[in-house]
Amino acid sequence: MRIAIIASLLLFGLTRAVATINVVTTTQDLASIARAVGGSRVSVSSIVTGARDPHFIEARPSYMSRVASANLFIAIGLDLEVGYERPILDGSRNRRVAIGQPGHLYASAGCLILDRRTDVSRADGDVHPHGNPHIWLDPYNARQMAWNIRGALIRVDPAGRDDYEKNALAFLDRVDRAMFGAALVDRFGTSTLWTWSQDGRLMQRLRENGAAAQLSGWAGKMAPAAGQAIISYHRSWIYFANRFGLQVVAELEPKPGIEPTPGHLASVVEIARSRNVKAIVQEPFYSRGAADFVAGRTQAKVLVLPGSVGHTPVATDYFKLMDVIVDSVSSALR
Amino acid sequence: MTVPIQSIVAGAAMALSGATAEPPEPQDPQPSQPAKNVFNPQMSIVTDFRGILIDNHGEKEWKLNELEFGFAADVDPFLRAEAYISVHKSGHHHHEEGMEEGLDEYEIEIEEAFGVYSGLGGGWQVKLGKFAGAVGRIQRNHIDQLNFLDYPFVIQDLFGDHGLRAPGVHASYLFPGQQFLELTLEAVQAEDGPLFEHAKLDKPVWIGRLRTFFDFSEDLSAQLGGSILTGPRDEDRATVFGLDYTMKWQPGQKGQSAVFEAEAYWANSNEPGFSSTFGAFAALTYQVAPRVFLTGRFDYSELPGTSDVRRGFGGNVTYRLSEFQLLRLELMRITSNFDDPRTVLTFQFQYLIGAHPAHKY
Repeated sequence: MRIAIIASLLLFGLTRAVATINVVTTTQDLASIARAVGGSRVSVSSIVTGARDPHFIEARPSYMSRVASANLFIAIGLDLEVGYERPILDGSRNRRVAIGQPGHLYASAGCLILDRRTDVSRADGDVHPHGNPHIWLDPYNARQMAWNIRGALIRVDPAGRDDYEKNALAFLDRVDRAMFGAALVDRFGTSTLWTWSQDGRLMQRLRENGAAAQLSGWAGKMAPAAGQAIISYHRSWIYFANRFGLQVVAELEPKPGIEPTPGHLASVVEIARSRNVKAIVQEPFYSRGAADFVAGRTQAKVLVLPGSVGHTPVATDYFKLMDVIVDSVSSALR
Repeated sequence: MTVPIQSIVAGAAMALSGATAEPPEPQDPQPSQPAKNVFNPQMSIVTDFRGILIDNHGEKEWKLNELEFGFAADVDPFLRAEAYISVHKSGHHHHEEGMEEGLDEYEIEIEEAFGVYSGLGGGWQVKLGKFAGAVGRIQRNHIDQLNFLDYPFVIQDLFGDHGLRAPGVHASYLFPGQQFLELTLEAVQAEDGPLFEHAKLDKPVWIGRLRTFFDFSEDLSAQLGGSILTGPRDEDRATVFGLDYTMKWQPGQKGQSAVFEAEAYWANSNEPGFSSTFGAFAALTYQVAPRVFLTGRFDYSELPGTSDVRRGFGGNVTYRLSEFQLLRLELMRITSNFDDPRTVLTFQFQYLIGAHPAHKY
């Protein structure tokens, strides 16, 4: 009898091990959220590793082998992965994760999308007609992405529904508390706080309710910087700026995907002076030359920040990523 | 902004978990696509314009070298189709001797037009139609994906100016496991070329290829492939063995990369008097600035069925203003045992409109 029980437990354990859901994501931000939502039921890997520009990844054959055994493939969408998603999926020969199948997810569905264009031309640079794809730097979008991932995991692993629901809600709760602080979340509820944030009236509403002093978290740290102007290298910080009330007044790239030119940088210097810009934000994979050029002629400070999980050794998950960004930007704009 | 079903689900889930978080409400539901364009294939046009600035054999000219039209779309849930149609100058021999004088007409060539089934399961993929044969890596690329002006001499001398592109059937198998290993088998009705002649449905050129891939690190990777071809050479048979190796250094920092690509081929035939031939190609491309690439290339090719040999040494500087256009200046020095040395300086202006190009390895 004892042997039978041990054998059953071993078999159960083996079954659990075999049943691990294999998730492959394009970016490390997605991987971080997928790990939080999937918990112990999933094994997650990301195609983009280290500090790399997610626009310019090549479809390495090794990615095809990795996706070949995936139960779920998660991409941002909005054409962020337009150069390599399809070659990887086709090369993987994995019909479970083909576009339109239950094992494929564009995590941007339902997110707040900025820069959506109806009149598109490459004269405007390497633009994304369905909207700016750098959605994850808005914590609200991270919530939506987690909720989408929860739905996709339930599709491919219905037996894990309870785990995924619980983990997703825990992730949302953690985002909410990291964003506004526990006191406000407990007092007003998250729906109210996000609505006020989205309307740009968070501080006004909190003052009206005598709760401004209770604001903490990312929103609390960024609140003194609201209304300030920043410059970014690529148009990848507009979601962060939009959420925290900053204004991106110029990009070092004259157009998305086009390298900075001397003439354009001269105009950026003028903008930086006239708008009293204190911070130039860029990801670590861009050369600092252009930013240093502008910073050397203005009072702006260059902030080389992780734009994604994994861009720097400190940014090991979504929360640490946002912590680093918020701490750096709020300090620079103080 | 109302999401009653989601709220019900979320409410139940919160009851289960006891968490206080409320699920998100979709902020920006995807609008319905405009119906008039949604089923159109992805389209692109590559325009390749060249100027032969220096040529000691006297062929200086400006020319619209080629227009390549590309189309791709899903036919249905099972099949994806691609087609590449080239309009190029007749007598398209950039570095070859014997170009016909006064030939100034364009010809249309269907370079590729195939349907591919990638969802067969079990690691299989099947392609039907006209396609680039699974020979090496470089000749499967289109002109906008080359780091130099033309296909290596050995490819041109074995299979023709545009490489081996022929109607037939392709089946490839991706071995399971984390190590990439792909086996490809093809049977194609190759057009008559320098090596293969009179291929037919029941007497095709058979192609086998095995390729693997190594991620040495996040920055350094390599692909190693081996190809074997056997097919008719009139009443006889010809056989080719090929090896190809590509190594890429791609640190995350923008504006830094290096690519080494090399291919070698051995050809033989049981045709009386045919002595085995060898050809090889190697190129190193180094990105010196975000927009600027330097390439050095070496060619060696023994022409099949002859004792002729030609060598090429050259290099180019490529200025890529964006992903969609380039300006290139390439200098080639060509020597052979059948003609005087030739020096060619070519300017290339190439741009792409339409669908975003694929980032192939």
